[in-house]
Amino acid sequence: MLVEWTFGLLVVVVLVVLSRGRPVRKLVLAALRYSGDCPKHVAVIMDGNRRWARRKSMAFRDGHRRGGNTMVEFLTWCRDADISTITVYAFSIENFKRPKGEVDYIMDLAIQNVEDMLQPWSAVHKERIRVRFWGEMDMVPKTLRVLAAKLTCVTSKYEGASLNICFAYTSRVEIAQAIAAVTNAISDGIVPDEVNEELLAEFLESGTCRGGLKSDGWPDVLIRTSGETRLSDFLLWQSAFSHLAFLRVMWPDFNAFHYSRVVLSYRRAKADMDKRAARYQEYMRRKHTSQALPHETKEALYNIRHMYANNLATTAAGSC
Amino acid sequence: TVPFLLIRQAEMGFVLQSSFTRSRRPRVCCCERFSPNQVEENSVQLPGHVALIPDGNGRWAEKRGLSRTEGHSAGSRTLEKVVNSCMRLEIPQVTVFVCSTENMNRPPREVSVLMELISEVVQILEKKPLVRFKWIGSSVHIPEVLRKRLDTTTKMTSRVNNPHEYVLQLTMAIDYGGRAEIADTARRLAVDVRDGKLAAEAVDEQTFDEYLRSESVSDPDLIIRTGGQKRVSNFLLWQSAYSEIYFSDTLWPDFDEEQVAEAFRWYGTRKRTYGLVK
Repeated sequence: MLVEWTFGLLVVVVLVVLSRGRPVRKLVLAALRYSGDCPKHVAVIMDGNRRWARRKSMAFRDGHRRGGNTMVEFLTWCRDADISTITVYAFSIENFKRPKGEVDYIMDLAIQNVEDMLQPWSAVHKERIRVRFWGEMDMVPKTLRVLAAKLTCVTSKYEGASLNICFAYTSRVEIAQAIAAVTNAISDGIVPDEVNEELLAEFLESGTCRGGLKSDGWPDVLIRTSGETRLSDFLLWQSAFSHLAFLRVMWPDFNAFHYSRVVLSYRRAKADMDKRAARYQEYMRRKHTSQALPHETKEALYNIRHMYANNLATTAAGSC
Repeated sequence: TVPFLLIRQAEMGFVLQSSFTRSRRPRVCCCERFSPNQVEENSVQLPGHVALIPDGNGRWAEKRGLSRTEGHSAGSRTLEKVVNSCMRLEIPQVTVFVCSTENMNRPPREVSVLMELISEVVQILEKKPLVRFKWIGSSVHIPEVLRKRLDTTTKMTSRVNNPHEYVLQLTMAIDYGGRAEIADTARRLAVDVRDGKLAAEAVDEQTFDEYLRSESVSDPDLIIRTGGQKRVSNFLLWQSAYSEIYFSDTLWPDFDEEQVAEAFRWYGTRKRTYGLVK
């Protein structure tokens, strides 16, 4: 009887898994999730659409279309992979210099994709993904701008994953605008000596990826498909310490198996970074132990602690 | 005996390999190896500006049972060798990431040894002809002595001139952070705006570029990072927007001329499009 019940359970499980589709992908991503750390914030440069189309003897337009489909499909399994934030590089300001026909087609494709995302059955609504658009949206046709604003608005309260689409984006322009905002604020009282990294990070448009609904943090890993090993002006400030994963697969062919390789390399890099961080923390801990202090200071500290223990000035105690 | 199969970790995933053919040579990996079809037969393009991130001194020393400081001295010797090979190939500009602001938090003994090594290297470079020296960095954590020496070397070598038109511009990034550099340049812009020398509306990408270039280095064509880590680690963030990044698993003291040549050969196969159509 036990054998029959187990067999029945197995059949049910198999049917459930098969009916949901993509069982192998689910298994792979589940294995990734339960075997160790997964990167929480993933940045992707979706490169290689045209080369993929050329290899398959298709038109470039079809390559871009398939690339858009791959991105949407990525959204469907990003939660299985335990990713909480995705930042994608959809279109660069430099790409505006490409032939007009191609640029117009990409704009139309973007409009179609955003319209699809606005539909209630899309992955964005099913997975409760909050979508934001970063970049110079002024350079983009009005239809797309309106749709993007609508999508941002509709999904602004979603608490699932977070998707940041960098459209008409260049990291240098973003940093320059943050600096322009800071210098404009000089007349409102910002002192030049206060201008430091933290202040600039707050003024960055994507500095909100550190605050907002959830604190997403800087990207853990930056993936670039198609084999190029450059950053191409994407998240220069934010990716200063993130693991760079350069894949030779073209973006339309990107799937969960490639992502699992990225996660494995990220884990190896993280082990090394954690070792360094542990070494640094050990040094700081040893630096701060009281053995290093001279005797008079230790005595004074003891007296202060004794005094504060009577709750004379608990608010000013600080870390003493 | 039957050769058994090993599962070895490669930089992306795993590789099945027979135990007898396991290669002991440190592997070069930057998004896996390119196929021979992609190697262009015609001219090998050399980069105009090379940036080096010499990582791996500590691990090299630990592997050999030496102290970390000995690893750093081996690293400084390798730096001379690499600079020499760059001069032989007539690369106009080389920037080296010697020491970051995060590194200055290491034990003070290691830091002071590092500072001594830097001053030794700088003394050697002073005597070399055809080297123009410059240093970038925040200079907050550097001892006064070293700062004076760096400034004198910069002044002395700034007049280096070569009738055959080749001079190596060598820049060392000491106590450097990319974000801090951008913030410092922003601070200089803010000071100029406050003093009225610059209109607040005129602050944009080009203005920032000019201010940055006047104090710092230009855009590197190739960034070489040794030591196996695949990160940029806050080095030349603004300038590295379009530079090719080459990662090597070799630790820095083992990085010899052959590997430098391999890096340049790899650079020659790259197609740089800067976001446009080829």
